[in-house]
Amino acid sequence: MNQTQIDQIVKRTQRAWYEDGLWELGFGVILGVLGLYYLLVGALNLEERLGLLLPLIQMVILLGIFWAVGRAIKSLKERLTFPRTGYVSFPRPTGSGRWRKALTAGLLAAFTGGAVAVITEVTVQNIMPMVVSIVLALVILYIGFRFGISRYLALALISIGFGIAASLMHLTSLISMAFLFVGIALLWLLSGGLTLASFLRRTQPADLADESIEDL
Amino acid sequence: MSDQELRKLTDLDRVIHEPARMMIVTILYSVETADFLFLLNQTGLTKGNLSSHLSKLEAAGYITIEKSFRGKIPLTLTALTSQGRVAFEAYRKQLKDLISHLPE
Repeated sequence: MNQTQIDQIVKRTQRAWYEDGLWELGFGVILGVLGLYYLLVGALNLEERLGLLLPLIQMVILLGIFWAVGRAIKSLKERLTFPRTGYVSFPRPTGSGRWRKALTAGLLAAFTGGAVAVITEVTVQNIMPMVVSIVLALVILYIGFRFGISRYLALALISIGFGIAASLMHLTSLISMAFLFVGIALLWLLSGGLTLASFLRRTQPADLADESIEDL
Repeated sequence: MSDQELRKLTDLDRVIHEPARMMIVTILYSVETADFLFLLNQTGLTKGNLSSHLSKLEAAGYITIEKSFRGKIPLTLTALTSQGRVAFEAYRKQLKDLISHLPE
């Protein structure tokens, strides 16, 4: 066994987390909620009504949905995935690793925000959805490349397509962001649903009456 | 390859060097914990074979095996020990060094 084979085993093991499509469904729900949030803010003109409270509300909603989706994925994995393909847990970043990850996410968000501000300042068209979709696509591509998930390439490309479409539709910035997030959310929900259906079709709950396990 | 480098071949950790155990250790290296069923699916080994290799790795102190229940379902959780992690990293380095010294 050589280094390449070892790397392939590591990649395949990490990919196991994504094989049931639950992560995609969860991500779709998060994006869907974000899209509906933008739609609501735009439709009810909450920007003017709530002012500085709005970013705070957005943060609370985001944290809440991340927490809820995380719990839901864990619970569904316990019911659907682990009885079929076995239980696995991956190490979570702790200490400096966690802070490094948070810092990277913060810097990325700040860079994106800055870039969006500069670009929208110098251009007439609303290209914010396109920029956001490109950033999202880059993240999706990174995950796809790192774990060898080829369908993520298609998802990334279609996401950029949604971004371009949202930018070209000349809607208000909030409505175009809502269109972008709801569109990508539906895409992820579809992909996750199909992946889950395929996973459930090709795997069966394992027979747990196993003497070999007892012998250990 | 010099004689000294050739002799390094015999220094390879034989517990890890066996292909099936190598696969198990590699999988456990990339996760926190995994149960018997997960390893069975990932390695493609038979139940008996997997049990036997896990026992050898446990005897070498490279993994821990913890039997418990999740509700009424028995759960056999395995994890790499710090000793196993160090041994695997050393093995990987040795293997890399050996291969890099091979003639084209």
